[in-house]
Amino acid sequence: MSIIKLNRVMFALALAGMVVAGLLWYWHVQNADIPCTNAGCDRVAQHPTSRLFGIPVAAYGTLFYLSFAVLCAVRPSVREQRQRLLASLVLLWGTVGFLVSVYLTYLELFVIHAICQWCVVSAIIATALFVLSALAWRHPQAVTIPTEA
Amino acid sequence: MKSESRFLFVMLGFVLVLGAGLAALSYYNRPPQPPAVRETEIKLSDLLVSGKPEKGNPNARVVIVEFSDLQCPSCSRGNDTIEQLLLRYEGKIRLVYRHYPLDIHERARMYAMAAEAAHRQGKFWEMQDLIFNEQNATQKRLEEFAKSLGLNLEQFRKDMNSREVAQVIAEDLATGQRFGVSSTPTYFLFVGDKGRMIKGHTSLAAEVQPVMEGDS
Repeated sequence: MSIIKLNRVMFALALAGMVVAGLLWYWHVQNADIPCTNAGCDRVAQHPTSRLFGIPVAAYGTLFYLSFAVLCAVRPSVREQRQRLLASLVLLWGTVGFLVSVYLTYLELFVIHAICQWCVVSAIIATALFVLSALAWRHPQAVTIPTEA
Repeated sequence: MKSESRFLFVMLGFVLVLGAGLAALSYYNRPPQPPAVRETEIKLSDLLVSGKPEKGNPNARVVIVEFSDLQCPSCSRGNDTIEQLLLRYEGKIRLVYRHYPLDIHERARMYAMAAEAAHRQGKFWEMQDLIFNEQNATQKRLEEFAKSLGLNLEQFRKDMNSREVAQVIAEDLATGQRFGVSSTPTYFLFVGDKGRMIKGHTSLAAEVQPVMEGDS
């Protein structure tokens, strides 16, 4: 897969993650019944760990995905010399997202004892972003994006 | 800016604007919320019928009558609040349960029947907790619950399909409707004979606390 395609896939995944986290944020703020096949989502949303410094965790998630999408959108524009730096930033961000997702999944399984399907979707997206960002970093074409004609 | 970047930013902007627009739209079109708490003319005696599931101190001056739907996630959360309140103000609250299975929850009636059938063998609260923990339980799963609680399975099955049990639930529903219950959970908080209605579980603890602190 070319780096352009890889970048687009990551961008699309980040957008999808942003929508999922954004919905969870909105439902959390509205104190709405979250569409879920079990009671897991509500249990997770009601748990004290669903907020950090008084702000819903989903809000941080939305900002994370938004910033990831911005990084992906910026990448094709930066000069060749800066490509490696940007790829490293994307990888760093992907790693942060992945580690946070692992921690949140741990909280769901072992602290809250409930699984929210929306959180699982987000964790899968974050994992995919991590893997792809590592691929994009290793990609030999990373620094040779063809300049626009 | 390269055209690829421009394309991605346009996509991002599109999603952001669409999301913000939809959020704003649904926020401004949300149904008007009736006041969560209101004083009512209801007397405690209107809601107290013997034979209903109850716990806490039967002689307590503070009585909470709960109208609940076992398939409703908010009721499950409300139950957590109730448990905390009962623990915190041990011996000072009496809790009485009334069924209010909503039509929008396809299994709510079956769950109500199961809990009422368990009530006939003295295990209402245990069955309630099991159902709240697994709000997608099937009929077969309910029977497993009954078995794990040591209920007489044959009797449980019979009660679950009996007209008497259905009648109990119908009466609870009618009582709730008569006194203005329209959503679950709805609580009636009585101090002595003076009652007020609390819709939803979010303000329950905040309503009960001052009553209890003033009571002690």
